[in-house]
Amino acid sequence: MWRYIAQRILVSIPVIIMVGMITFTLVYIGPGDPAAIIAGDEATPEILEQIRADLGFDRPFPVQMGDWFWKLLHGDLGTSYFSRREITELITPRLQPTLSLGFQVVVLSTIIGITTGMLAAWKAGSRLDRNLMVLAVLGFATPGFWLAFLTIWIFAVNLGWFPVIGYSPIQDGLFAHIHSLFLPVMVNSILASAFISRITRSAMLEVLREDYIRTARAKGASELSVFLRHAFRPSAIPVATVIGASIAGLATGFVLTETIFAIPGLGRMLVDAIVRRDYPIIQALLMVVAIVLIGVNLIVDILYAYIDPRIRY
Amino acid sequence: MWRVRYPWLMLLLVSAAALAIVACGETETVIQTVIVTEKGDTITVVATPTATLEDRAMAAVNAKKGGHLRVSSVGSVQSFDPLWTTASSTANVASLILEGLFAYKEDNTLGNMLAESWDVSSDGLKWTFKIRSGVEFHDGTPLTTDEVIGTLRRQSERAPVFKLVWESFGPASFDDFIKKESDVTFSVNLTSQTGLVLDALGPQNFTPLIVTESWYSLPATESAPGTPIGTGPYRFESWTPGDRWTAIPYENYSSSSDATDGEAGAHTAFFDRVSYIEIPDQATRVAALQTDAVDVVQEFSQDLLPRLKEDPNVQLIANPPNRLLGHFNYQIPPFNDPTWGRQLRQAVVMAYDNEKALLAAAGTPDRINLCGSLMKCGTAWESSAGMEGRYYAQRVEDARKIVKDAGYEGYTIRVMDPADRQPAHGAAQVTREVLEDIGFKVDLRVMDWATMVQDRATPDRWEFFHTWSGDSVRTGPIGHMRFGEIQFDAWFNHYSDTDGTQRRIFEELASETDQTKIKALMDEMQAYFYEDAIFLQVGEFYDNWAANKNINGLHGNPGGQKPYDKFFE
Repeated sequence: MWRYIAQRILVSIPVIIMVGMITFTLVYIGPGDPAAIIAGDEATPEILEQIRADLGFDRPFPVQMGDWFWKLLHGDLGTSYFSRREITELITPRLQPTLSLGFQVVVLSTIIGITTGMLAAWKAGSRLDRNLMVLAVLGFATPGFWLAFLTIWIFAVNLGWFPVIGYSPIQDGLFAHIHSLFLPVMVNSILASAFISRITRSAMLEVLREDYIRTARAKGASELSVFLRHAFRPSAIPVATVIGASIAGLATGFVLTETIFAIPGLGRMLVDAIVRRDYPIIQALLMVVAIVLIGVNLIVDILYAYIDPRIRY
Repeated sequence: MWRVRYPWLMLLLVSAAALAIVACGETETVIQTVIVTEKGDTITVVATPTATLEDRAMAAVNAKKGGHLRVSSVGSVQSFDPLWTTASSTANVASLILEGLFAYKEDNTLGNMLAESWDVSSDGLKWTFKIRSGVEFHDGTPLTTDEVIGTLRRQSERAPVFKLVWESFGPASFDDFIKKESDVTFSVNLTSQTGLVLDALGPQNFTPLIVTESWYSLPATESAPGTPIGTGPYRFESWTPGDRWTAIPYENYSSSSDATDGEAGAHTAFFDRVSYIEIPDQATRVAALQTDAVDVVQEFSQDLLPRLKEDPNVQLIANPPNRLLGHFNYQIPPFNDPTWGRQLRQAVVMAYDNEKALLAAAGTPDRINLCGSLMKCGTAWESSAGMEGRYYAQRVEDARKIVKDAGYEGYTIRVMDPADRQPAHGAAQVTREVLEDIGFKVDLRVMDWATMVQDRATPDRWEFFHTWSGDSVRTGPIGHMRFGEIQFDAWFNHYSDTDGTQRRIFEELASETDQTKIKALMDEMQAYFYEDAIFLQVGEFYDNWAANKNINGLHGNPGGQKPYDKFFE
């Protein structure tokens, strides 16, 4: 297993390099000129050129990319064009909101998705099954921004139960932290759990048709035991895959959620950087997202071996 | 036993009913205070408190200090250096913490801030300024003319009016242009007379706001690191990137002895703390105001306005107007055509539906002003010169004939449409209709603002685009120089004065000190502006701010939205 993990990490390195090259190239060829934004409407061409030179745009493309990679190898993500601050310094305070939001959403959506999926499979064909699946379809068909505004309007503006904005860090108290993130967590969990629920149901139904399930029932195992001991674990592989994929989806979903709920996380940082064409921040964040996704895929693969003893690396 | 056959459907219905009940709940309509001005066939409605300068001064006498003002800011702060960027988020920082030599009074004229007085030599070539003594920066550094001259030197390449005065009326060397006379006096030395000296030292793009050596010693093209240190009534306290920055009163603030008047004169920091909170989404901003999560909302879309008008706890403050413009490309056909270019530009101007475009930009009739004056509408500088038959004339048939006679019927005009900026986006939609009505084909190029900022600098990528400016409110000629066209060497629409008329008028204007002659020259400049159809003047539109009603002192004039001199009732 350790050998497999080491191999996967080694294989990830060229993947990360490729991601870096592609993102750098896309950002380079994309429209938008940060120097023009910095210069403003009344800048002279000389000022514009001076700003471009200060930002290093007057150098050839391979030199710019090589310089960026060289700094990256030394752990230097670069400096923001606009704030002139180190990107690591800018990213650090924004990690906690995004990671906490992500963790809560993954936990809550997994609990909701698996529970409702199992219930639906247990009562397959019943009214409960149909109702849960209709809600699941509604869940992943609902636009995230609409659901976000709806929850703000109901739970914040009219009922006043939760704040519209005002992220509270964990160090200010766990309850205040969870309370401040409740609405964004709820919105993302509803969206993410819908798909997990559908996959859990179909995976469970497939396993429940297996011979060994029939055998377990014939031996007198209780229905609960059949479900939890015999059926759930084999059906967990596709569910784990979907949860992994949903984490990838969250990376983009948080861009929206953090913007609407004014959470000072990485998603909003990315939006701000794109609007301003702050290329070093865009590249750094895309690299972070790529590394996280590679890590999540690795964890999911390792989970496969844990879930199914037949899988050995 | 009774059973629910479709519980999920029932759940939806119950939810919908609950939403309807919530939606229909308590709304007491409160009519906002409005000023209605009729101007020809145009009605301008501005929601603004009616309190006068004197009323506000009286109220401030009895005001109590204290409280935490939370302002929802527009945009994310990236740099605290207003000498480097004109971003509105940075301007918020500057307005609270830094001060310039001059600032706007409520009537849009210049008032003293760090400058206390000045003398002009008999030949008008030497202006000697005295700065306020006893002023110190927030780090304890005393203010001297070293900081003033250092700041002016840093801004000499970027502050457009300062640059213009230096280049057109000053000696070649900066050291000969600005001289230190003593720790509290400095002089501006000219080679020929101009009436623009105060404007050169006053508010403009990249206003020279006085900073300490750690900032003024940097190149103008480099953003200063760290946090701002100024002489303003509030000092910087903390910054959480992506969330908020906070300022607290500066205990040793040395206020001007002049009376409070807009951004100028004496200021008082009534609040214990002021926070600017970043809320990127406009609907969330409004919800935050309604749930008391913030006290002031700087910007929101028009469709949210009715919600706020119905809220008895909210006051609306009309901002000074924005001017909506359209730019022709002077580098490529058809608008640079040596024979027909001017007439084609005139054709667009005379056919344009200004009202429709302003409505598309601003949303409602009470937020627009059909005003074609280059100078601020409603002031003594307002002019109608050259407008007859051109501004909001809607002469579509005449325009169509010009396009046909010029041989450009069916010619494709590429209109840049920045979909993430409503004023320009809305106007671009109307422009497409107008251009098609007069015989052009239109290639509407939808893009984001950043892309447009890049593309407009590339002459072969477009023929027309819209922009707008909040700085059109200045009284006097210099207030309108920010538009590249008036400076006859614009870089982003590549306009150049072809026959020298504009340059002549401008040079006379810049040299003139007599107000009557300046007015005549402004009229002449406007007449030429319409004759040459230099750009499309669409009109003015207003955006609102909203605030909790318990904040006293907010108004729509200069300084009316700044946190100093405001207090909780």
